[in-house]
Amino acid sequence: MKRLPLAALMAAFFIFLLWSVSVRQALLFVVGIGLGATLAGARFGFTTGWRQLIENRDPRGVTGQALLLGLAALLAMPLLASYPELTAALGPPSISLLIGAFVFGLTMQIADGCGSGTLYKAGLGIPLNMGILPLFAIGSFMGSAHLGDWLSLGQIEPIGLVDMLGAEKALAITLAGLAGALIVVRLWVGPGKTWLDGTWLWGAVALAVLATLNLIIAGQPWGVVYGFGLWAAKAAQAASWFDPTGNMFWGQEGNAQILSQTVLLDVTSITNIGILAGALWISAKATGAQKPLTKQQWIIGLVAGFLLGYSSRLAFGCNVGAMLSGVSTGSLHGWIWIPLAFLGTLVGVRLRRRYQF
Amino acid sequence: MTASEHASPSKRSPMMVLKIIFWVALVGFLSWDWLASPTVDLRNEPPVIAAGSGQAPTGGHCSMAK
Repeated sequence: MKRLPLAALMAAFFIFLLWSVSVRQALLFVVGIGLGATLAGARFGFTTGWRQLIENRDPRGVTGQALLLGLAALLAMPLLASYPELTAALGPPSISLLIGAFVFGLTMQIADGCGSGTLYKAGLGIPLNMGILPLFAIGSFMGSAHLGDWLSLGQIEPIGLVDMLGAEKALAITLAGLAGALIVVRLWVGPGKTWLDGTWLWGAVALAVLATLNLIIAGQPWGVVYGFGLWAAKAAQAASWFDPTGNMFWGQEGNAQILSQTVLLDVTSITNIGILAGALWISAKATGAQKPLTKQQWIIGLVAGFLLGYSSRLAFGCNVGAMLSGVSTGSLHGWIWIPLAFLGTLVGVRLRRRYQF
Repeated sequence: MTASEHASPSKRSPMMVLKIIFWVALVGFLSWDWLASPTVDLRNEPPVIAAGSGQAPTGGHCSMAK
């Protein structure tokens, strides 16, 4: 489809949201379009950046990601300190987080996309990611439905650096942590490397601004996987396959309320729809054919997609909800997520090579 | 001429079919959800901008344990 009719359809949906749902949701749809267009336009791939670092000792992707996290923290932490109604992405450090982040890091290399990556690549029309999306949603739903059992293995209360130390100290610790990570990267890649290029730079700046807009408008940081789980939960409930009453996660008052209303009122769902739309808009001018996958690659990719969704709930977020939003809003769980997911990625990159993706 | 330029329309068509199925399924799901869900209470709209509204956000997030 060409860009003009696509823009007209997006404008029509924006007006529908404005008229029939809420002004906030209409604005968040626009933020989502911006996120999708940036992710797809800059090919800002969290998964690819990590893989390039491991396989080619190319630090550009992870430098772009560190820049994104630093800029987002610079914008988000003073806002969290000034406006008590804004919430951080606080997940509990837990056994569930350790296992979930490792499995997520592993499977995202096979599925070639994290939460946001799967979304924008599906929007771009990449076949495996389009196939993965519904399985990601089912996995995300099942992970949330089983979350009570996983948490019973052991957890502590979420730790928020902004609440605990104030914005200035939390920001200093966060920036020092990111600088430390880049020093480790420097030791791995050696001298004489290009550290950042224009695409990663503008992608990082645009995503940091859009993630901050999401925080200001929605009152909560940018997230992806909650929306997926909600969609599958709604379908399962409608088919009488799932009764949320008594479930630790979906039986909780706030989630039960969200489950009972249209997904168009859900913050994460609306930005997810925007990301798909933004990537579709970019795809109207994108070129390049995809290498066809074998039957075995399809099966492995789809299984990885399901596990990606399941593990993202155990890990309290994906690269967006846990890493970007967690770290930039001062949640300790984001800092635990990164090394565990990276360990998983070290295995995932090998499996990816083994199955010739 | 490159391999991708050699690709005939018939070779591209399965991908196009997959794209159509994907978007029809998504629009179908959203339409079903809209029709099956209770009508949105427009008089109880959330604040346009949460920051400064004094109201706690009500949305779900993937970092939430409950």
